[in-house]
Amino acid sequence: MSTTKTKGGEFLIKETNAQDIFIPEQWNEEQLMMKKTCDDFIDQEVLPILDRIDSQEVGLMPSLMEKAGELGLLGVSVPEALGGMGADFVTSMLTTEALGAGYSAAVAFSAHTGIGTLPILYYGNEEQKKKYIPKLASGEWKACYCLTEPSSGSDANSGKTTAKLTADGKHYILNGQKMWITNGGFADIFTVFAKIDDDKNLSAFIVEKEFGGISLNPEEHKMGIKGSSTRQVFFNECKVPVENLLSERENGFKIAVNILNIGRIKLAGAAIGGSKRAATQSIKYANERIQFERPISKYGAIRYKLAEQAIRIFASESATYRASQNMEDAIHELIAGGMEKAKATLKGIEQFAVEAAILKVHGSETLDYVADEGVQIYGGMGYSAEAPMDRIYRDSRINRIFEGTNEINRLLIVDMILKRAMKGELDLMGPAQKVANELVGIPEFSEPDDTLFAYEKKLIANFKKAILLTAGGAVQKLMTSLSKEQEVIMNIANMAIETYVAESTLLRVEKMVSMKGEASCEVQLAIARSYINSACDKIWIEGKEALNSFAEGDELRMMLIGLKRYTKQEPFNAKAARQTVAQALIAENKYCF
Amino acid sequence: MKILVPISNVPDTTSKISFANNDTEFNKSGITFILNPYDEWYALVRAMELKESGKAEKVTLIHVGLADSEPTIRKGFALGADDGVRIDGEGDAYFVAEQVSNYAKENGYDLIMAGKETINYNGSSVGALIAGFLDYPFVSLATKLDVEGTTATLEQDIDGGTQIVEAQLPLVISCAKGMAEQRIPNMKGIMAARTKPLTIVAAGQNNNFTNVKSFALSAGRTTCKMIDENNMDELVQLLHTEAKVI
Amino acid sequence: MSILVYTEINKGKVKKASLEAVNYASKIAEITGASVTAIAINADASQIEEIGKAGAKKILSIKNEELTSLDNSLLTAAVEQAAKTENAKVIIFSFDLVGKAVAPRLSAKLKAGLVAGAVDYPVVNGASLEVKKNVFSGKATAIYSINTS
Repeated sequence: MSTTKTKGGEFLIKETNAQDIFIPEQWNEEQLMMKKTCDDFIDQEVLPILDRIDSQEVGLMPSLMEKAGELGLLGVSVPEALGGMGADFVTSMLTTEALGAGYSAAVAFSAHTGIGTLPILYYGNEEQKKKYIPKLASGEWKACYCLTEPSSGSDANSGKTTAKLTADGKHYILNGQKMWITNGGFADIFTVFAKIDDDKNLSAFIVEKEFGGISLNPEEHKMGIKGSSTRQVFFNECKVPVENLLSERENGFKIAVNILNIGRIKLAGAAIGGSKRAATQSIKYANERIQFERPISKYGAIRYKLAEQAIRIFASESATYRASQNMEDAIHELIAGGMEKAKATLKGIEQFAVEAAILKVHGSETLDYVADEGVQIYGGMGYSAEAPMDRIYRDSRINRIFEGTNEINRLLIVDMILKRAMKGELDLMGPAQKVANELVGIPEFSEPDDTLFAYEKKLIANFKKAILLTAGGAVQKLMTSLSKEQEVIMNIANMAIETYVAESTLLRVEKMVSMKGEASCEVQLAIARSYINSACDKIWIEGKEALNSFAEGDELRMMLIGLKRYTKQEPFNAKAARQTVAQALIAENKYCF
Repeated sequence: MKILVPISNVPDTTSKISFANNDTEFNKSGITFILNPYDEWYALVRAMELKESGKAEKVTLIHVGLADSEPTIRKGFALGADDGVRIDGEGDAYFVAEQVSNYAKENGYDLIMAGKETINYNGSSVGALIAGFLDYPFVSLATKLDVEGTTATLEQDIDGGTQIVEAQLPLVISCAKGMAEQRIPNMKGIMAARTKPLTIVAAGQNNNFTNVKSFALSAGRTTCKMIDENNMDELVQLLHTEAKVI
Repeated sequence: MSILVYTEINKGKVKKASLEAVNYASKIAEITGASVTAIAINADASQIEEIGKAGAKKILSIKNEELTSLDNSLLTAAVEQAAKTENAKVIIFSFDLVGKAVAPRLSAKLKAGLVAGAVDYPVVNGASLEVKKNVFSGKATAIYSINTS
């Protein structure tokens, strides 16, 4: 797809051609049909029984998974030879998005197809794959993933679960306790992380419930996703055949990290699906609810919310599919270079781990925003457990916590960028030096370019300079103590998130205009400009806070002047832009982009 | 047994209907087209069930329409149909039925299963027209169908009850609610859809006796009026002056 | 010329929809100056009278028990025969089980234009008849012009 090879994290220093990105307006007929099947499944099989799902009626979730399996929804990413559909990565993102609207069922499905199935699919040997994958793809077996322990959450490698080889060398004996295990209540297959003897790093094991020595605590009482089974799982002298060691000894942590990269971008996709449905419900309610003899969608205060929901969803979606296609391209390139598919998939996705972390944060925070404003648009009914916003609001919240908390992901964004720069994979130093020189040089006063997108592109380029200025200053001033200055890291991460998403949104609309013409993209232009406008102000605030915290005196003043210059905008009527967006939503009576 | 299922390409049920060219044409812009639900849920799904139970050897889709309706034919493939024919032309029910009949005559089908009506033009005519052209027996609005050998047993709703009908193949039926349950196409079916043969045939006779001169939107449903239960006079008044039913 | 209307007896009574169809035909007759002929299958004297009152000038009473079986190919043949002897230009059915089965069959036999589910009285415009019907499942109406007789 891309004509020029794109590398992960490179958006910070490189301009991207709109024609090189994938946009959701390019889905083909087959992909849309697959999405429709997922949508129909959610509409017909999941939404009518949400209360029963949330009451954890015995056997209901497993039977739902079996139905999904019959339709092929659990094997989208699984190769055809192993009973799946063999769909490409971007297509699997689309089905993930559609199924993401399934509340607790969405969590059960994604835990099964993602962390439940993928470690075996990508790290299993032929025998392991043949034995487990077809039954996981069909839904006959349900899977869960046992990494987190009571004392090891974000610090996953500190787990205390042990594996000891038996004297005859035929089995490992697992002992330990795992926590927050999604699908734990009914899973047949457990991927368990444990340390062999006194190893420093985790190893992974495929454990069948049938092996024995597994016991479960009762269901956790949770704030939301109440229908999702979440258990503590205890391994007590659990006897696992040696051939069920997954990959190599001490490779477990790497498996966990790599699977999380996939989980993160998938979470962003699922969040988009949930967000779109929640936005549609908000729009419908605003059109129906009459106050002072007019539907509340006539009022500017409500229109602001409807528009802002849509703007953020559109932006998150733009970035998610841009990155998905980048991953896809990277995978194909690695396969073309002779790498085996499973390995290439992991490597390709790992290359864009920075983007995956960005998307995880942005997708989950967009969903939270949409849910929160959804409650507000519903007013009193928003707080009623009889109306849909109650469940949306409670269920959305977990997304900022699992698959790595958003704070951990923000730390990772900056950490990975800096590590890549140190290793020379990402040339930050050159561009950062340029920015530093620009600060002491004479500001350029070039003629304004009023061709379409020229101004917005200039802004995006400036955002990148703002990041280089702030991050460069932080590295220089704080040196090795930067890793301890988490507030500053959060600032830089937020600047990177806003820049990547704003740029993706602009590129999408630019490509749309090239496909359909400017006249039919009026609303999308309003969305992109609106998003960039808000992003610009956020970048200023984040940058300012960071600079003020580590610089001082003339140097601080000079850096602040630079930051101001890079976040300088022409006047923009955000109210008018949001009105344009809201009117389109209200007329269509649904999220319509 | 070979089954032919005529299908229509219609606007999605949630579409906002509007008209173009001085209200003489349906405005297709921004409209999502779907496989006519009655053709899909009742006719095609039941045809697939007959195939799955071994009673039918082949299910063929036939559509009279232009190339832009091919995605709808492929949706039918995703649901399991074996192959399809698109007759390249557009016209009213008479035109469509005549084209389908000509094709069916040449290629020999034992059972032709139409949906009870389309959701765009609501004519309920194509099935009976085909039966007329082919001089086959016709059972309209069938709610159940089974086939043993060359005998079909059907049920249809009649005034105040249902009747069981026996008919000999070859046969044309129109299918109504009860015939089958809606199915969601599975991923395998969707991926197989692009490999199924779709034959394109030029339209034959051009007998089109009706055409739409103009469209108009129906008056929307008016809002509910709540009347106090103690205020019967107001209710009577409104029923008389506004609803005009008394 | 004449306008033919199909009527149906159900449970000893002329169906309400059939009487409406006769009335509908008489309205067309008023506009075009044609006369209305109704077909009554196995009707008794009082039922025939009722059909007459609804606006039929002439009633073709057909006595044939086989036709009550609702076999649409026999009914189609009977109406086709009547249409030929009466030199009918317009044939009216009510939009029900029988009408939906017989009218299109007849249309195919007679090579005649068909509009199913008319909701308003027609307008004559030169050689063609214009009829209004509901379309898009009630979301809109369309004026159809029929160009055959």
